[in-house]
Amino acid sequence: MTTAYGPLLDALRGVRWPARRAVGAALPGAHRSRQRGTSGEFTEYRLYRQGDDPKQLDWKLLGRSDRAFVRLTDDRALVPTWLVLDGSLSMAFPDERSALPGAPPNKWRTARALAVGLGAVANAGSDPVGVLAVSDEGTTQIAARTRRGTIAEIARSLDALHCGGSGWLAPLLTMTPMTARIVVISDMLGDLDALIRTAAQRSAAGAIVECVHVVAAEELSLPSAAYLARDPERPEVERVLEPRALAVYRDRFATFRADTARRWRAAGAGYTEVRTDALLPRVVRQIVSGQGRTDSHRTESDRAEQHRTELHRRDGGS
Amino acid sequence: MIHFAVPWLLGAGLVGAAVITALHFLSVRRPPELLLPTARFLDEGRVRAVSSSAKPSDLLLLLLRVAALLLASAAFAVPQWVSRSHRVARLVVADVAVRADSAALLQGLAAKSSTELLTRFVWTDSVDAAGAPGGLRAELAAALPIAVRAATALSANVRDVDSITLYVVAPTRAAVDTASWRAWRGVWPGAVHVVPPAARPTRQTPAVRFDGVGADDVLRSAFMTRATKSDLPASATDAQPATRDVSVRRAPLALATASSSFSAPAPASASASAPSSSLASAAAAASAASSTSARGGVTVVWPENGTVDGWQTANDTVGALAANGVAVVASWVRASTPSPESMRGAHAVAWWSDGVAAAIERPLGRGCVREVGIVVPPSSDLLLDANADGLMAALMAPCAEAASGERTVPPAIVADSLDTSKGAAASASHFRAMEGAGVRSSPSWLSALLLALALTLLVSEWIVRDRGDRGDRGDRGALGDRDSAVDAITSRTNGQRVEAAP
Repeated sequence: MTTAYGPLLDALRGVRWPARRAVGAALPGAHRSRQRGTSGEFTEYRLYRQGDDPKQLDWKLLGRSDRAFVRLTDDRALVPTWLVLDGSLSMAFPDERSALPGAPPNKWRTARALAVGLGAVANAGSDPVGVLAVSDEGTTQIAARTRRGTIAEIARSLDALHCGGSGWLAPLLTMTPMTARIVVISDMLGDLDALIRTAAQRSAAGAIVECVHVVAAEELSLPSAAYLARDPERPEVERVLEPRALAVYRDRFATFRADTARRWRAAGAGYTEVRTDALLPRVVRQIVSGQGRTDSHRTESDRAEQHRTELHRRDGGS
Repeated sequence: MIHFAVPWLLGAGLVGAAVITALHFLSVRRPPELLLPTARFLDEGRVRAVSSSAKPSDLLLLLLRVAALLLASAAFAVPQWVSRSHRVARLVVADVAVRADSAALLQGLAAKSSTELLTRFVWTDSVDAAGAPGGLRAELAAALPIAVRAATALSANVRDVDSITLYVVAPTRAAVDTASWRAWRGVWPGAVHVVPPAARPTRQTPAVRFDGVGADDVLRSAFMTRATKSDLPASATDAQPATRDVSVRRAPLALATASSSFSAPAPASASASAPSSSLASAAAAASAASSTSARGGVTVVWPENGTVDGWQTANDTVGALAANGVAVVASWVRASTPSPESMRGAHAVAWWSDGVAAAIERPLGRGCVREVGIVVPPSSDLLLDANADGLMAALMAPCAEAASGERTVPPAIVADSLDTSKGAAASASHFRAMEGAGVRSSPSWLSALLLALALTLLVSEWIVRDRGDRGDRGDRGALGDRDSAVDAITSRTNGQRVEAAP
């Protein structure tokens, strides 16, 4: 593993990433499972029914009350975490070759750091971590593993990738297990509709989907000079970038981000918008703590929608 | 020295070069390209940014374009290499009447200028000058279109000629209409040298012979003070030019009118009343008068009593007498006036102040007879006065000149005041251009060479421009550019980012 991720990993030491809900059947792990097991942590009693294992009978209680109860305990399971990375050409913005020292990293570098950080947090909870990425070399898959060295392997693999292609992520989501935790790290400028649709299906099937929307700081504050802006993934898209168009651009881009956040959350996924000049350890902590569901990075429209929802709930409760 | 047959094309090329240069200072171009993944959120529309600067953009392209345009315009302007020694042709337009004097005319023109390469005469007559029936005599301005036609032919046939000097020889009796000359003057693109009518080769003073005029007659004094006496016999003067011979007589030509070729019929009363004893002397006088007129001389019949044969009798006085524009004011006694029959075939040369003819001229043979009905008292010195010079000049003038006088060319035409070429000869290329297809560069390969150079420069310009475009695409082909990064960095406010990248 390259030493570039050292400060990030140090800042994330001790951070855990619990599952937001009970997970399905899996190997014993750190997350609460929907399965009832025989672990040492008592949960409740239940009357014995024919077919139950006699070993689970609470004999002492049977002796005191002459009634047969079975001791029930919650099971603990692992959650395979799959990091789905968008390595399309749009993620290489801005160009690192022309970047000045001290400039914020581009979107791809930020996505890689987030993947390593989230993977390290997940791996610290003994969860297997795997990677699916699309880049100029096609699809890259690193199988989900728990063993030591997995994060280092992921870091090396991601560092070797270069941005390219159009970044179709929806097919990658179908390659993940149904009960996995899926983290999509992308700028959402590719197959957004198909991606959200697939994520909704996965979420309904029991998967935990998290969306990390990477936004370059340069995309939010465009230069004031006149340029002919061209989409790197679709060269036929040429637009005039001039000071008069900045206001319209900002409005449309903000609307797009707000709409994207709303659609992801409506699909049952968490959504976190990450700027390339943001503090990545803080962003990782926000993601693993579930603030993506009630994110402080929400837009005004999100806040207004949440306010309306709360008012509706309060009125219904009263 | 390079000369252009169609110079306005070269001027158009210069204007185009100026426009191209201005466009390089004020260029409308596409702005620099920026690879922006979120470009889809910008408005659609074509961009044209106008930029102006003190320095021209793409200096090499500018030089190539301007040079190509100038070379092409120079090629189409038909360049002609002209040696420093001008080859000037002399074009002389003259009336065919002076064709016999071409040698003297040429000698006179050679005295004016000796640098002309060749001289081409154009003799005009009524047939040649179709636009002006009567040729130069009818209208001097007819020489100009004739000269243009001749110069066009001369330029087409003689390729060595660079320019043409035009000489228009005005006939002696040419009608000169200044308005017509002004209207036609513009057709000749150079200076026009108008040669005024040459002085008639006549003697300065006429030879006067008196017949029947007394020694103390006032006529003898009047004529002798203005002429030299010729005592030569008629046979001796026959070999001499006799156009200025003047025969003055007092006696009426009663028989002479009958035997001469006068067109006016002689009065029958005069013939009948003539005494028989004087028939011989009258016949002799008439014969002398006929001889003088036959040699082109002038016979002046000036009766002492002012009563001319064939005229109407009058008995009044007149206050003035005019001839040749000079009036003699006196108390003149008018004894006769010309009758309508006597004016037939004649014209007046002197007039009374009331407009009645005082002296008439009648052609006779090669000469003429002038009848004078002016009564001069024997002791009068009116005819010796300077005011009588006009009358005496009209009576002593060669035949047919007394009334009309010498027509002169206006000084403005002689000075060629309408010339816009400042006295320069007309360029032969101008006339070759009028021929159209006849205009060729000199040497002939010069235009082709200039065009080839222009095409070469255009190809070079295309190559340079193509390389420039490739370079621009290469510079902007990467993701983003340095300018956008700099702008983005300068607008960034969060400087506390944890370094997570190498």
